[in-house]
Amino acid sequence: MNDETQILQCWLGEIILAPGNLDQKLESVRARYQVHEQQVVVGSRGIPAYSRLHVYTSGYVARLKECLSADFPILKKFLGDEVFDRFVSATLMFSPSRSYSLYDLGLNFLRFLENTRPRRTDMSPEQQVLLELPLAIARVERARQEVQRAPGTEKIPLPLISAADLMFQDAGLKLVLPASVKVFQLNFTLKDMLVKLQNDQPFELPAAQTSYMAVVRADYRLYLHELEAWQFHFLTATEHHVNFYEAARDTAAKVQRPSGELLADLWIWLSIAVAQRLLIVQGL
Amino acid sequence: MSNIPNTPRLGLPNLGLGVGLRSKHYQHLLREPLQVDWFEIISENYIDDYGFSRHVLDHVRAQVPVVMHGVSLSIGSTDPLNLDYLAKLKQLADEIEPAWISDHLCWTGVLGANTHDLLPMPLTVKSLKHVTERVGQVQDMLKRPLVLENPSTYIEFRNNEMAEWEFLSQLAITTGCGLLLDVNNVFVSAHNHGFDAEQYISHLPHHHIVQIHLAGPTDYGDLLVDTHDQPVPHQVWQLYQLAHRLTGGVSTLLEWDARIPDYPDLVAEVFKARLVWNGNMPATPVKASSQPPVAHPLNVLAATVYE
Repeated sequence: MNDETQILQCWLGEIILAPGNLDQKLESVRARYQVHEQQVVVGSRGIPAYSRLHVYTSGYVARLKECLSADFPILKKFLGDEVFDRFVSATLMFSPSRSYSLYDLGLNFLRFLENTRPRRTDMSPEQQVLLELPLAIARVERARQEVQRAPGTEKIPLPLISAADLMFQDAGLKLVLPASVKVFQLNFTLKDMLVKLQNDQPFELPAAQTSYMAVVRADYRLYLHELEAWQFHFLTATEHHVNFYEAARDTAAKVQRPSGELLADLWIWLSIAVAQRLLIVQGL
Repeated sequence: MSNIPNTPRLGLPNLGLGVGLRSKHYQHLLREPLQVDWFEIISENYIDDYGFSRHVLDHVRAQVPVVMHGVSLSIGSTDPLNLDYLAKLKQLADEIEPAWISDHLCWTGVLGANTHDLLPMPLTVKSLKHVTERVGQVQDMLKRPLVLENPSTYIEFRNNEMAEWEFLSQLAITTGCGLLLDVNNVFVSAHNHGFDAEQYISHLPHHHIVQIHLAGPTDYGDLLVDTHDQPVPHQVWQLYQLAHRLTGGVSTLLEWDARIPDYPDLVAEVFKARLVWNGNMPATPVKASSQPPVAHPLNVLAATVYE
């Protein structure tokens, strides 16, 4: 360990990461280190330390705002630039990056939104929706990032099999939820609003209503699929059950439907789900 | 002392003229000929990414060499080396077999925090010893020479005991690491600190230089900033010509990370290097801006559209 180098790095790191404008940062650091920045940084060519440090401090915030704006474009449109930037600044202040990867910064941002969301019980359902929506949008956009990067189904050929093959013929076949699929249970129907926000179209706030959705990557393109409750629970069950009938039984119990009726629905839907890359078939 | 033979480019190949692989050009690259001799990737943009970016990288790698250029090694930090990052870096290298792996002479954070910036090193005997030890550790882990780039800097520390070229030269000779000479960064730092750019380049150990970066900076009045958003200016081409002559020719790459032009225009810009080899110097001026300066823009992936 090199003490002198470490002190210099802590000094500059604190100037960059500390909250406030450059004057506030420098005041805080001068007090802590008992040194003026002109005693640390050379002011060659008549350019003072202040101007030089400003390149680093302004760059830090601008760069990470740009990064999170790219990761959460729909949330930014929903909140507006000013409110979005305030959330980003607060995230950087209270939860600065500790990862080498900017990809992890998006998770920091989502966690910050989760941890700071209002938890009041004295509001109308409409007010509740308004407060919950930003977090729901952020979760979907983070899922999009994860699905975009996950090992996908692109190199797995689409199986030429029927629902009967999947359900009755071969006990060795397994239905698996790929890493390139994320499923959600939401407290409102979100897809219509997301698409309209993305396309800069007027939108209405969704009504409070339980809904289900999947973010899917197929052939390197991203899709949002609205799901029925039983489809959501069946896809979720495939994460825990390798056996088709166990997953179906688990789903029937969750949605409180007779198993036979659910199997009839699955008969029709399974081939579609496989074609949409919501499920992959292993053991072929 | 180094056991690396005294051969040009440490014995690594001259890959020719290349550009950075950027998401803006993915569709073009899947449809059209690549045109350039090689590509450089930002390593962190491809670590743990098995989606479309990786698909395009595999497509490109099947045709031409690829170099992995990182921004997160933080070789100069006084924090311990990030072994998780190094393991991921090695895994990506094992998968795509790059011609070499590079990063910067800098630190990105301390005490666990990360600024995601390329921050300047104190240029002291102690910090040189510190970086030398870490380069050795990284080379042992990656099982290949590390290639380190001179960064653009906006501050110099009063306790500096040597010039940056001297620091890099001693580091290269002692560890056997390669050098990625960014002639734009030399131009930017020389302007900002008032040193002689040609003297800087002339003093480096030229047989350790395995690659050159070209880029366009922005003039913010007092300071030049390494914005990677402009054509390469005349002054940078002049430094490139000097470096080309002193090294005998090494792999050359154009960096362009913001306001990225269409692919044919990007390729046309790097191909100007051929004119420079023949003594014809582009007359492009340094672009001036009245906006506040921002250091080291990052290439972020373009937003994705839902179907």
